Amino acid sequence: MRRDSERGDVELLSAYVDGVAELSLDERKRVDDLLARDASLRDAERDTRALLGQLRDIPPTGNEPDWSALERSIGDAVGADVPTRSAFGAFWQRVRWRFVVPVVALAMTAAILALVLHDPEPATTTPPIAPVVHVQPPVVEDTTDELTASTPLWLDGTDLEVAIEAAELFDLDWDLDEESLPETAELLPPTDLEWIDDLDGESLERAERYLDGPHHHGRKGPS
Amino acid sequence: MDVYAARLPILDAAPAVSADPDGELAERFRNGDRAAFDQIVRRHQKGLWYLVRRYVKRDADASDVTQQAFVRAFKGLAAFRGAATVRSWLYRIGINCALSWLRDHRREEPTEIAEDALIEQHAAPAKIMGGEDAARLRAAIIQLPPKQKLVLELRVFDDLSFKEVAELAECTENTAKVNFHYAVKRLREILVGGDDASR
Repeated sequence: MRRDSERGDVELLSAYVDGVAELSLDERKRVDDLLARDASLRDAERDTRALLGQLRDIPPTGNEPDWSALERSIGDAVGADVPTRSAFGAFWQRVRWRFVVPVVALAMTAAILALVLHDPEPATTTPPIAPVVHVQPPVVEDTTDELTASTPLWLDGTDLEVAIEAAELFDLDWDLDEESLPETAELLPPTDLEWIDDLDGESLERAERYLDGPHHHGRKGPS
Repeated sequence: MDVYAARLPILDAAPAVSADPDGELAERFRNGDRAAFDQIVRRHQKGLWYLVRRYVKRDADASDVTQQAFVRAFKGLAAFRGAATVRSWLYRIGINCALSWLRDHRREEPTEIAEDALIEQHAAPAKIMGGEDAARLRAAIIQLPPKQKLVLELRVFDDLSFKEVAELAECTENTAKVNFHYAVKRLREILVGGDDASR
């Protein structure tokens, strides 16, 4: 069993026999050493030399043509004009790979970046939509002709049409029984009217005067 | 158009080989000297014809393919940069032309013709070797794996250097040497073993 390195040297044996000059000095020396210590390899060398000699003695295939006629026919076929390459053609052949490779690499990088960084839903700045508050007027008994369907209130800076007669609220005669209120009443929670509790007496009087007066049907509430 | 020259990227990629005996002729041709090409034809038409003849099996076809190969070479020589020798470049074009010709004429040329040609070859009076021995050797060569066969034929029949063989076989020089060794070894086995070895 030969070692791998020895097997590599044996594989050079035929090249050694047929063209020792084409082996490097190191390769030549290794094969020489191998031949010096291996008799079977020396036999193989002799056989190889004999076989290559036999192969070279084989007469060439076919009956050779009239070489002058073949040369003339080739001359006629190629014509008289020597094909020349344009200066650009020569330049392009020399540098084409220097261009093609970086351009392709750049294009691929750009494509990958575009895919990675692309936002399928472009960001649009839409103004926040103000919540729409629908307030159903509570069902109350129509006791007074002066009661109107709705009363404007100014709550937290928002102008609301509240369908509750403000005068009744301030009179506090109205019993706010939760059961009697419609379901929609909870859209305007009582806590939103807590500011009324914070009014001082003077403010309340002014409000009452305002509501009793002829202008209480205006849009703006008490300030 | 110039498909054969285009198939040689490996041969046409490195700086010029200084030891090419045809390098000067190629340079003269590139500079517009038409006579330089005629000289290349005179130098290599014989070798190229015999190389092609091993593929196409008919003398007249070998001449046609050889002419075709030289026409291709004429068109491509201006672009040839001398990475390989002119000879190996030319032989590569010849092999490509021969393979292309075989593809185009596959139906016209049944495989039996190859055998006929073989018989005809050894029937011809051989000056150096007896016809029977030559036929036996040729029959053994046919049994080699394609790569080993190519390397052996280029080396033995076309007298190419291992470097040129490597260029044509598209492998390294060392691989060409190793392939050559195994081709010779296998050939010995076939010849010693006769029919048994060929199975």
